[in-house]
Amino acid sequence: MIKLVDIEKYVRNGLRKSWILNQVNLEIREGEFVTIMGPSGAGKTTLLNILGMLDSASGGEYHFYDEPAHKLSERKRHDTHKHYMGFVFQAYHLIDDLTVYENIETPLLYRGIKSKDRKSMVADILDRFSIVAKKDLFPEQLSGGQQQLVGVARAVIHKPRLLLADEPTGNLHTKQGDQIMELFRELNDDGVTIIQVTHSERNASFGTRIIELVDGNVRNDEIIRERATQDVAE
Amino acid sequence: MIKKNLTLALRVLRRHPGFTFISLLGLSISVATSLLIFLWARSEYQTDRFHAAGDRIVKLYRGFPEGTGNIQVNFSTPYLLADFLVEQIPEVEKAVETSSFDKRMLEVDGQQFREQGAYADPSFFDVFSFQIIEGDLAGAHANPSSIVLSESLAQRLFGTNWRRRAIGSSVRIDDAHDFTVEAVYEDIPEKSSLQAEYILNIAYRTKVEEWVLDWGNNVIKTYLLLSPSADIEEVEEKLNRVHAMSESYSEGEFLMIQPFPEAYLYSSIENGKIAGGRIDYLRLFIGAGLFLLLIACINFVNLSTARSSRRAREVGVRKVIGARRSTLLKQFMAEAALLTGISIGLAVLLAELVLPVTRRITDSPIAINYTEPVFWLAIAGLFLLTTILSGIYPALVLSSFRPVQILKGNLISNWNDALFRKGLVVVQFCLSLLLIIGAFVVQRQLSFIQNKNLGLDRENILFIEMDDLVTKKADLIQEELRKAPGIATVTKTSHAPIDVQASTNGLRWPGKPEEHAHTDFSLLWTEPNFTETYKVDMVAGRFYRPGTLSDTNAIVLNETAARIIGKDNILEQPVELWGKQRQVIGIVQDFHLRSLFEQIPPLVIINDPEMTWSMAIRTRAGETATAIAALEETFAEVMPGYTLEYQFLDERYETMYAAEQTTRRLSGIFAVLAILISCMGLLGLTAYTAEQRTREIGIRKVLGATIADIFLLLNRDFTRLLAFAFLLAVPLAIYFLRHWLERFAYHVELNAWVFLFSAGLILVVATLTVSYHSLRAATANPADSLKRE
Repeated sequence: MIKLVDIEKYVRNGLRKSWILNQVNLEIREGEFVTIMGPSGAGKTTLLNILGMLDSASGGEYHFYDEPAHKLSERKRHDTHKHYMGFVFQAYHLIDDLTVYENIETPLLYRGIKSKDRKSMVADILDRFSIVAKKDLFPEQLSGGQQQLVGVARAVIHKPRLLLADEPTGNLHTKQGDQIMELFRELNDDGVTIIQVTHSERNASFGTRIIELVDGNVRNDEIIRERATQDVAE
Repeated sequence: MIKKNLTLALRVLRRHPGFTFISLLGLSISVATSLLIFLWARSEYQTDRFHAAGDRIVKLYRGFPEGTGNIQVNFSTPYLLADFLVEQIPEVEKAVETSSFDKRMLEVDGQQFREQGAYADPSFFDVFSFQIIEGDLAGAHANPSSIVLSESLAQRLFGTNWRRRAIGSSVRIDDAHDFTVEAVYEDIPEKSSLQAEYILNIAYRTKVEEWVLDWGNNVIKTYLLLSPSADIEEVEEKLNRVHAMSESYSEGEFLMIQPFPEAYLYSSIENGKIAGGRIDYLRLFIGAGLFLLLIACINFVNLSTARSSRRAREVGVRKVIGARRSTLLKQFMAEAALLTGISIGLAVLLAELVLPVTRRITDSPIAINYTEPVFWLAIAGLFLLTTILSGIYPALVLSSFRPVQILKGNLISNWNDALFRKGLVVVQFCLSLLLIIGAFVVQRQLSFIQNKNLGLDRENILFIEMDDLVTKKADLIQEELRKAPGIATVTKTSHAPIDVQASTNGLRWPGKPEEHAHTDFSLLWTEPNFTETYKVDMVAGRFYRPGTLSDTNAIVLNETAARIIGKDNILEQPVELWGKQRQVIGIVQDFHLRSLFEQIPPLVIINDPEMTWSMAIRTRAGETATAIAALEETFAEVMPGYTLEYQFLDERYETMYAAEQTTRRLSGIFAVLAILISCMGLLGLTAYTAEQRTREIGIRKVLGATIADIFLLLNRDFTRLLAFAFLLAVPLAIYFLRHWLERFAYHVELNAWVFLFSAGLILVVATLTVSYHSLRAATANPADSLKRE
C-alpha cells in the first residue's frame, strides 16, 4: 500500500538546513495497524503528515498504491487524501459551531454524497459508536472521550482505506483511551489500515507493528502480531 | 449546501456578538445612508425627465462678453425673437415664451387666494407633457386674456364641482385684471422643476406692458421644441446665423441651447460654458455615501481577519477532512452575505425611520416604493457591492490557511495580514478625516456667509414683495407704519438689495472706453431714506434728499461703478443714462448686491418711487414682535381682507444658499457617522489585539512595566496610523475643498487650524476608543494571563 524511499524533510534555518526526517525507508501493507513511537522531536508527526499528504517531503519517493505520490500535483494529492484517508487528532479538532451530527456529516458533504445516503451513513455510525443520544449536542457539551469518539466517527464516515491518528488518546484518561483503541482494533479487523503516533506503550500494544523513530530516522521496526487481513494484491 | 452555510453563518454570528454588533451597526447605518442617497439621486435624475418630447425641448440662452473679459450667459431673450426663430429655422417647430412673477391675488366670487403662477404662451401645454383635463387649448390660444388652472387650484377656486363651474368663468387678478378660465390641467408632479398653479396667456402681458415687445428688452424665458431629426449643434449654428439678422443682435452676442431635461442638474453656466450645478452636490454625496460604505466594509474585513486565528483551526480541520479551498471560500462568503443581508433589512427599517428628516434636509420628494423594480435593483446592487467589498478579502485569507501549520498548534500571526489591516485602518481614518475636514470647511464658509458684513444691515428688516394692490396704497401704508410702535424706518426698493436682478449697459460717460461697451451696471430704484433703512454708508458726496427737485437729474453710484468710470472728480461727473443727462451726486460704499458667489458688480441707484416693488421695514432691535403686530394691524386697517405675506430679510439671504445649507447639514451628519463607524471598528480591532497580546503584556508586567508603559505601548501603534491617515488626507482635502471654495467670489481660506483641529478631534475620539481596551489589558493581573498557557 505504502512505500517510502529515502524520504527526507528539512527546514531552512538561515543558511543551514535542519533535518526533521532523514533517509526514511518504509513499507506498509494493507491491513496493518502501525504505531510510530519515539521521543519528542523525532519527526513522528511530520512523517504522519507526509503519509497523510497534508505535507510534502523535501526529497525521496512516496508510492501510494504504486502511484508516485511525490510526483502528483497538489490537486491530485488532495483528491487521493480525500478519497483514501481519514485523520484523527490529539486535540479532537471538532468544529465548534457544528453539532455532533453535522461534524460527522461534513466529510460526506465535501464528497458530494446525496442527502438520503448521508442520513443513513451518519445514522449507522452514530449507532455503531453508541452516540445517537449526543447527535444534537455541540462539541463543548461533550467530555473529551466523547469528543474523540466523534472525531473518530468523522474520520471513518467516508470509509477510508487508511486511518491516520496523531496521539489520539493524548488528552484522554486511560479508560477513555482504551475505548478508542478498542475501536481502532475493530476498524482494523474490518480491513482499515491504521497508522498512529503515540508515546504510550499500552496503546502500541493494540497494533500489529511498532516503528521507532529517533532523530528523523527509523531506529527500530518490529512486527508484534500478525495483521488481521491479507493484501488483496498478495 | 447553501442552507447549511447559512445556518452555520448564523451560529457564528451569534457566537461572536461583539463582532456581529459592530459589523451590523456600521453596515446598516452606511447601507441606509447609501440607500437614501440613491433614492435622492434618483429623484434628482428623474426631475424633468417625464416629458414626451424629452430632449427635443431646449432652453434658449443669450450670451455676451462683459467688459471684464468674462462671458455672461442669461436665460432671457427678447419676446419677438422666439417667433422669429420658428419662422426662419425649420428645425424649430415651436417656441414657448414664458415669464415668471411673484404670487398674485386671485379673486372668484369675492374670495381671495394668493397663488403662484406664470405667464406662458398656451403652446406651453403642447410642448411640455402637462395634461389638459377639462376645457381645451384652442380657447386658451384664441383668447389673450385666458387663464389655465391646475386641478387643485380649480378646486380651491370653484369648489368640488369645479368641472361644471370653472370653464368660462372669470378670475380677477390683483383687483384689476380679468381673465377667463379656458382649461384645467392635471396637477404638475413634484418631479417637475417648472411649477405653477395657473398659467396666464403671455399675450396679456404684451398688451399691458408694451415695452416687452421691444427687441432691446430681454425679459422672456424661451423654450424651443426642435424637430425629431434636429441636431443640437447644427440648430445652434443656425440660431446664431438667424439671430445675427434679427433686430436684437448686437456685436459679440450669441445664442446657446441646452436640452431641457439636462438643465435641472447642469444649471450653472460659467464663462459661456455649462459647468455643472446640482450634479456637483449629487456627486459629492454619492461619493460620501460610498466612503461610509467603504468604512463599514473595512470594519468587517478587519474584524474578520483579526479574529482569523480563531477560525484558522476550523479551516485546517475542514481541509483535512476534505474541503477544497473553493468550498471554504463559499462558506465564508455566505457569512458575509448573511451579515450584509441582515444589515440591509435593518437599513431599510432605518431608512424608513429617517425618511421624513431626509426629505426635509434634501428638500426632495424621496420615497421608498416597494413595488418598484428599481428599488429592488438598488437593494440587490447594494447587497452585492457590500458582500463583495467586505467578504472577499477575509474569505481569501481564511481559506488560504495551510492545515499542517495550523494543526501543529502554533497559530501563525501573519505579518502581511496585520500590515494590510493597518493599511485599511489608515484608509478608514483618511476617509473619516476627509469628511470631517470637509464638514468643518463647509461650516466655516457658511458661518462666514452668515456673519459677513454685506455693507448693509440685513438684520431686523421685514420684507414685503408688493403686488399691484399694495403698490396702489403704498404711500398710505408707509405713512401709517412710520408712526407704528417698534418700527424705525420704512423704505421701498425695486428689488431686495441683496438680490438685485436688473441691469443695463446703457450708462455712458465722456471717454467711456470700448472695453466697457457691454459692461452691465446693476440697477436699483429706491427713495431717499434707503441709506437710513439699510444702513448703507456713503463714501463720497450725499444720497438723495427728500423733496429735492434737482435730484431727479442726479445719480448715485457704488464704489465699483465709480472705479470703472475712473474719474478723479467723480462727483460733478456728468453721465448719460438712457439718453438722459445726469449728475453723480454721491458714492455709496460697496455692498453685496447678489450672492457671495459673485463679485460685487457696479451699481447705479436711481431715485424713483414709481419703480419700486418691494418694501423694507426696519424694526427697532428687540421689538420685532411689536413691529409685526403693528404691521399686521396696519394692513388690516388699510387693506381689509388682504392676506399679507412678509419675510425676514436675513432669512431670505440664507435661502440664497439653500444648496450650501443642505451641504452643511449633510456633511455634518456624514462626518459624525464616519467617526462613529470607524471608531466602532477600532474598538473591535483593539479588543482583538489586546487579547492577542495578553501574554506579552503579562510578561512585560512581571518584568516590571508599569500600567502607563503598557498603555503607551498599545496606543503608540495606532497613533502612528492616525498620523499616516492625516498625511494622506490633507492634500486630498486641500484639492477637493479648494475647488468647492473657489466657486465663491468671497470665501474663507484653508488654514492649518482646520486640519489640526480635525486631526485633534479624531485623535481624541479614537484615543478614547482604543484606551478602553488598552486600559483593561494594562490593568489586568498578569498571573491570570500567564496561568492559561
